[in-house]
Formats: sequence, C-alpha cells, structure tokens
Amino acid sequence: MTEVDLISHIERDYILNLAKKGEREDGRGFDEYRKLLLQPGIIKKAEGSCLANLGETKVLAGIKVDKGTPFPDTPDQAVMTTNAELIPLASPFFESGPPKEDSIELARVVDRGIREAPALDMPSLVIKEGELVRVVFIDLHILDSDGNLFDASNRAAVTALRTTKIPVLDEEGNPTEDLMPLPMLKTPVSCTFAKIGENILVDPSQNEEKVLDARLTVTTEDNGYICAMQKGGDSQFTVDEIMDCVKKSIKIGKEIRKTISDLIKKEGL
Amino acid sequence: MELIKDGIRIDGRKKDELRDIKIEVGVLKRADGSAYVEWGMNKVYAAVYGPRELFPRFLRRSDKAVLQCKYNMASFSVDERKRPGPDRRSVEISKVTGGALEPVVLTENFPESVINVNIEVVQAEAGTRCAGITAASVALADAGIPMKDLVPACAAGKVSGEIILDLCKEEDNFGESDLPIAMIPRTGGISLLQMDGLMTGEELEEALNLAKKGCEIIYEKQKEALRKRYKGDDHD
Amino acid sequence: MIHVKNRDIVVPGELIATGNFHVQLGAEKDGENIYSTVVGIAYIDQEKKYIKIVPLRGKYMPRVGDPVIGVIEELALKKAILDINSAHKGILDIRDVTMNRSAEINKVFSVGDMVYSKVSDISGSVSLYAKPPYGKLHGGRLINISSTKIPRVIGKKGSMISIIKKYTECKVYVGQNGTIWVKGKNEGEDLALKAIEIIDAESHTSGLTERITKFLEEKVI
Repeated sequence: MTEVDLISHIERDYILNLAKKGEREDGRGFDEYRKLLLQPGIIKKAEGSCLANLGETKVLAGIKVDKGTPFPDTPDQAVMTTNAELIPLASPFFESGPPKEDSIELARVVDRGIREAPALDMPSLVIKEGELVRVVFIDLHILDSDGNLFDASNRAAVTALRTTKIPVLDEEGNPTEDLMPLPMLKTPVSCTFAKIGENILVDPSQNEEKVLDARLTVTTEDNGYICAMQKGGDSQFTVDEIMDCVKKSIKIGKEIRKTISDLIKKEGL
Repeated sequence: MELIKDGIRIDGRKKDELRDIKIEVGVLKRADGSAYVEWGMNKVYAAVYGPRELFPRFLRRSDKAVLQCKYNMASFSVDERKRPGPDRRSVEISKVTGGALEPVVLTENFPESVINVNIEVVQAEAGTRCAGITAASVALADAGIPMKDLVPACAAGKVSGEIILDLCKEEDNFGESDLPIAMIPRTGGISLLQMDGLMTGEELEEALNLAKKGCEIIYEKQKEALRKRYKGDDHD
Repeated sequence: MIHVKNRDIVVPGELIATGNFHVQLGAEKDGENIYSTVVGIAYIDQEKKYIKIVPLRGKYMPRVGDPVIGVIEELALKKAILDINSAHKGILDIRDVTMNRSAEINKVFSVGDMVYSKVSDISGSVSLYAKPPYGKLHGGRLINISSTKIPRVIGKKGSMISIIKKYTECKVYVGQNGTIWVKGKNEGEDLALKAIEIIDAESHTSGLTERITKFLEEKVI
C-alpha cells in the first residue's frame, strides 16, 4: 500500500465537462499559459541559475561549469549533462532516493531540447581538443510540483544558461579573473500539451495532468525548427493534432524567447 | 589571514553580531507547511508533510508519530558541484536535526504516523544546519503541527582566540572552533550540540552563552515571520 | 494573569496565561503557565476561566460522529480505504455500507469515488459508516479547505450553511475533515463554492455572516 496521487471521479468529470465546453478549471483558454516568473542569477555560488515559477510550479535550475575530459567519440565537443531532482519537498508523492523514471524522463527531455537546438556552442567550449573541455552541469531542482514540470524546467534551464558566466581561460587553460558569458547559439523553448478527450490544452495544471489521456512536449529553436519531441501518457495523438501542437509551439516559442531576452536585457545580465 | 582586528571581523561584523537573516512562511503550495530562510549567503527551504501514514509499516510506533528529518544540498549550492543524493555529512545532519526538533514536537498526539521534515539547501555559506533547523521549526508550525516551542539554531565559535557569533565561511574554514547549537527558548535547553576544534572549558561556556543569545534573536524573527503570515487581516 | 488579548494570533511556545485556567484546545499547561502549542487565534474566557487556541492550519483530527467526505484510494475484498485528510486513512467495511452480506466492495465502489460517511470509531484505525443517509456522492462539485475553517462554514447553529443553501439552491454536505460537496444548478454550484472560498480566506474576521449574505444576495439578483 503506497501513497497514491488520485483525482476523484467528481473532479475528473468536472474537468472533462469543462473541456467539452472549451473551458478550464482556472479559467484559462486552451492556448493560455499560467503566469511565468523568472528570477535569473538567484544562486551566486553557481555559474548560472534561474528560479522559474509557472503558476505555482517552481523549478530552480543551477548551472555549474567545470573542466574535464571529453567523451572519446566526440573529442571536439564540450560535455553537457542534465539531472533532475524530484525532491520530497516538492510533493507529498515524491520520495527521496535514486532518480525514478519520471525524474529521468524529465531530465532527458529538457536535455534533448537543449542539446539538439543546439543551445550551447559546444566546439567553442573545448580547451584542448581530445584532452580538456568545459563540462556543463545542468541541475534541475524541483521545489513545488503543480503541473507541467517540463516547461517550467525548460524555462529555468535556458534562462540560467543564457545568464551563465564562466571564467576566461589563458593559453594554458587556467582560469583568469575575467568572466565571459557561456557561449550560446540558440534558445530552445518547450511547449507541453495535454489531450483531454478531443481537446488539446497547453500547460496542464496539476489536476489536468491527472486527467489527461496523452501529453506532448514540443521543443523549438530560434529559426522555428523543431529540435525535440516527447509523447507521454497512455493514449494516442492524430497527425493533425500533432501538427496543431507544433504550430502553436513555434508561436509560443517565439514569445517566450522574447520574454527571456527582454528580461536579460532589462536586468543587465 | 587576519580574521579579526580590533573587534571587527573580515565581513565587517562585531563579535556578537549575526549575519542578515530573512524568514518567509508558506512559500510552497504542495507542502503542508513550508518556510524559506536567507541567512547571510545561505538560502534554505524547509517543507513539512504530515502527520500522515507511515510506510513501511514496521517503522510505525504505537505511542507517537515518527519524526523523519532529511537535510539535502542541491548540486549547485556549493563551490565545487556536489553529486546529487545524500552523502555522509547530509545523513549526519539529518539525524541531529531530528534530535533538535524531537523534544518540542507533540508526536504523542499522532501515534502510528509520520511527520516528514525536508530541508533543502540551495545555496550554502557556512551555518546551513542552523538555518535548516530554524526553517524547519517554522515550517512545522506552518503545518499546524502542535509544538511546545519553536526551535531557533545558531553557531558560535573561536576565531583568532576570540569567541564570536555566527561564523561565516572563512571563519569556519580558518578559525579554531565551531559550535552550532539549537535552543528551546521556553526552557533554555539545548537540543542540538556539536563542536569541533579546540576550546578550553571557559571558552566553551562563553561560546554556549553567546550562541544562546543569538538563538534568542532568531526566535523573535521566527515568531515575527509566523505572525506576519496572518497579520493584515483584522480579527477583532 | 493573562498575557495576550482575546482573539490575538499566537505562536507555539507563546505564554498565554498564568494561573488556574482550563485548556480546551491548542495549548498546554506547564506548572502555573499555559503555553500555546499552535499558530492560531487565542480565545480566552476570563469568567469561565477557559483558554482555547484555534489552529489556523492543520490536518483533520477525527472524532466519533463527525461526518466526513473522502475519496476511495484502495479496495480490498470486503473493505475500502479512504483519504480523509487526516494522519490516518479511513476504513469502510462492506458491512457498514450495505445489508447485503455477500456483497463485494468493488461492486459497490470504485477507486476515485467520493463517499459521504460518518466516523464510527477511532480506537486503532479510523472506521467509517456509510449506510443511508450517507453513501457515494454523484455529480456536483467539491472543494477542499482546512478542517480548522469548517466551523465557520457551518456557522452558529448552522446559520452560515443555511444562508448558502438558501441563496444557491444547492444541496451542501460539509465534511468535518475539510471537504465540502455541493450540488445544484451550475450557477448555484459556482456561487456556493465562491462563498466557501471567501469564508476560508476570511474565517478569522467578524461580520462574516453579514458579508456572505450580502455577497449572495447581490449575485442572485
């Protein structure tokens, strides 16, 4: 017998009936996101960081940049690794211990979007080809789980990366006192959709996640290319539904990219 | 390194001065009770769940609730990235944190259940266990769990031969001794006590009393933070 | 000797009074002193010499006879396990649901059903009773508030709940554990839930009954 994250039939029916009428529990439109609040640079110990609030979902991304050996099959690329901690703080249903499948899927989906865009200028982070490269750790710390960890984590991670400062290295590869921004090429933005009955809703709330039949996360980059996708849940999407989500993702991606850029400019980061 | 000169420490504080402390209550939605503490450069969250059913069953106690405390540091909370997951230090701190809070929580009211206390350090700069206990007691109160008292925690230490309050990172690394304590203000009793370094008996007593004074100041901040959560609503 | 004012907000460890007082709730005696054990509102009756601290938050503490509303989390052959927002789950035995002795509980309930029941026993686990007028809830809407606010939703002698039922024309079942169920026309349900949300937010203020009445009057026109 374990703790179960249930939704009652009454609450489920309410959400389904609302969806049939084109409405949502919190009054949002199907294509409307909850309020996004980004606080970059919140962890001074990390080379980069950002706390993202998406509605009440809170994700803290920390970027640590170290030095290390490259992978043997990619001697001319930096190393990047993404980890997600679904810590017990964030939900009555998260347990401590090694990452389980939800935490691993979350980390890999966020990682895929960042890696494939490609967000980081991986070759320029090589110090000595085949021997020494920068190692970028992206750590996602979930603080409050209230629906759509994928998009909250993505926004926290990319904003943190965009505001990361790393030491300039001298010819020997030793750090100097000067700092430079982490070299980036793209800002990938993910959009997650929930399929409830025949309806597709963006940015599922906690209850909507419990009720959805299927889930789709689409990550796009600055030029409107799709760089990562992930379907979740036990049901199916039609091709039309997928293309509709893709179209919306490209549009929303542009908006979020602008939000992030405006914020960075405004804070002078 | 001159850690203290003419009674002024390297961060500009006097010997008996605390770093800046900010306490916020009810910062997380899912938790039954929560708090956030900024203490100098430390940033610590605490969340409480419970009382609730305890699994596995063999851990249940028929006479009271089990208080499970877990202290954890985020990978990016320290200078050198820390691998995720508990290390030996975190496990020890989890245990002594439980010892600090156990005397005040009225666990007898909830037999056969568990009260989970989760402390998450997102930025660390010496004194995280004291910040964690301070946050945890506020989170327990926020969760409505009955307690005899709140539990403030604070460290004192010896640096360049002088007894000082609330060590910062350099003082912790290069000083002679560190003494974190937690105090139950109602009785003046000490529920967390750890010490490392070298001190004479007199120095220890001086440090203990100084740390207790620090705890009293923190106690007022804890109470103020809890009252503030509900103030601004008229209730007469 | 009293150290706080009536209706003050107090915190754990706060000295409320010294002397011969009877503690009803939320405080403990330590020799001559009475200390609060929760964050709550202090009610002190100087005449009758009693002290009550009503907690502002906290899990539901079951009492025999309380009506509760909970969701079925698990089904065994002859019993169901419900979440009632308490330290322990509620257990509903098939014999406390139907007279049919050979019935199996999973033919009567499924996981996710909401059940209106009564607490029948709290020695050991929390036992529930769900024969009529109690039973499974169909349709309607649910709201979860802190169990500490339920007395306000009911009101003195049911005054508040009667007002809500009257203006919204809804059936309203109030679980002492903080879960409330309403059923009526859609607009009535929305209105009832909104009124309950206001009570939840302003539970420790006075004049609430008048404000809620006014609110409902205005919306119904």
